[in-house]
Amino acid sequence: MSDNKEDLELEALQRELDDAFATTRPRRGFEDELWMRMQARRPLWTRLRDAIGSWGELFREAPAIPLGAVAVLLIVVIGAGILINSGLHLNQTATSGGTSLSAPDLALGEFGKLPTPALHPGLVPAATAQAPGAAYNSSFDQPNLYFGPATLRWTGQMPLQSVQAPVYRYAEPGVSLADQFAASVGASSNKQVQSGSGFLGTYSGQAFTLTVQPTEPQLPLEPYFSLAPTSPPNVSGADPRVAAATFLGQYSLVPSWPNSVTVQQSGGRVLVQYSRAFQLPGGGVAYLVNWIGQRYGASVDINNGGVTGASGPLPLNLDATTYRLISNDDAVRTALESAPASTQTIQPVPAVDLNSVELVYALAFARGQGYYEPAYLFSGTFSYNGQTYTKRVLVPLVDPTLRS
Amino acid sequence: MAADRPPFEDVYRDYLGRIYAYVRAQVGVSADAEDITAQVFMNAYQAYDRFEPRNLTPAAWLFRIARNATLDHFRASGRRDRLQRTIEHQPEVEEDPSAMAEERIQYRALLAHVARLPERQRDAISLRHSGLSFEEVGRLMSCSEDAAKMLYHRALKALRDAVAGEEQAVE
Repeated sequence: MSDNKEDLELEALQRELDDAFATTRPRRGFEDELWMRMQARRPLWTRLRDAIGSWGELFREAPAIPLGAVAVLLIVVIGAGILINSGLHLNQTATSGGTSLSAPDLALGEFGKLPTPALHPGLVPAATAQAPGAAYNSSFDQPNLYFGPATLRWTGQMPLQSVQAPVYRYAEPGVSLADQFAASVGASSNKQVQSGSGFLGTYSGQAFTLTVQPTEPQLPLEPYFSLAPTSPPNVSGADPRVAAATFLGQYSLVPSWPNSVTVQQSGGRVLVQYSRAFQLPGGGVAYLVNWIGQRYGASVDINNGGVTGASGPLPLNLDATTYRLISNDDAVRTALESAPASTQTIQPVPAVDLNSVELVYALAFARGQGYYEPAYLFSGTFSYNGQTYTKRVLVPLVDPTLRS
Repeated sequence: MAADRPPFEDVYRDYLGRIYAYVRAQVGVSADAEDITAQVFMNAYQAYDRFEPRNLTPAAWLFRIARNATLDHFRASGRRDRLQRTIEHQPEVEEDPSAMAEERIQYRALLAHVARLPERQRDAISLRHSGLSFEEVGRLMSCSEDAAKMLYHRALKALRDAVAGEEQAVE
């Protein structure tokens, strides 16, 4: 190879590398999520210091404010900051079990600006082995999903004229709440494996082990438990639904939230899934979907006739409030204009008719709190290389001006 | 805060993408790249009060943290197990349309070749194309500026050969 030709090749490769590094960027939303995680880890006193500092800046720009008023205002600001950061609730909206709808006639936007739920294809939980539900379990049939760029067109019908759906919030639980939960199912702490394990707690009970995981904010996935019997009870021949309900009932873990039960089978494995839903004020329910738009909730695993484990969301108290929601027309427009959830693309870019939509709930996490927010999940299918793919688009319904 | 130290928020905004691209080229898996990038900025945020810009540019400081985090990632015991678990539990979406589309995405293929280079060659390419000078690359890799240049050019030729080899195999 001549030197000249080699030089030209290397220069071309350098240009390609420049482009590759300049265009390789994290997925949409990662920058904001990471920044919020970093902020959430700051000690309380530094957040208060910054808050006071910013108020100080304000007052320096308005010297006519009497010093006495400044002092009173600072006391109020500091007091409010301490209350907010301590997790105390200034309102009386707490509901037990997370599905009561007695509270939504409250002031709009009571939780402040909300984080935005989004689809995050390509992520998997850090502790997949214990993760609840079959939604991200590759052992069972799932549609081929595509989240990359597509030319979208809406050809369906909106199911509801207008949507009424509150936002629910939980505060990230600590170790003590995990311990209480474990005690309620008859387990005690297994201290020797707890340290540094990434769990809120690991426990042992009579013939079973239990782990409790904190929120996985990058997905996000709410705190959840995983319970595994040390010797799987034999349920051969039993209806899987009955076997699952019986197993959960032994530990008082039958879901208290609205759900639908599905049974999936693959070889000798049966998965009984309880898809979680939220009751809507106008009647009906909306199902909770994960980061790829799949329903999820609690599940019971049966392998070769034995119950090998159960998992599900940790029971947490939820606050509820209402937010202004966008109209159906705006939701459709947003769906058609939304950026793809993934940059991984099929060429040529497929044209997809979005022809169905479902009111769902999706989780977003910020500042140590999880928010179940209403959203529309649009979907449509297309063919590529002889296979059918499903395109999903999640459109959060809370007005964008009320979201961060 | 030192008078010449920019607000961390500015550093974060300016360098998040570059650090991610560097890490992504090293580890070859976007989920791992996000984890490591998050760790880099968490560490940087905590240490920012101790960062002395008179001695080091923010870029050199951040890339040093990123390089150490990436090396830790490769050294971590059980990494292979974790990767295996991750692959086993990937939703099918990861394996179908994107996998078919992958060979059409020129840069993803190129970065995959970078990720397969020997460690020091991979590092030299990644640091250089993340915008660092040869002097900075050399300092980070504990060698002289000239040695960094030589290492980079050897890496570039190895990368060219790897890409050409694959193209010939396809033909």
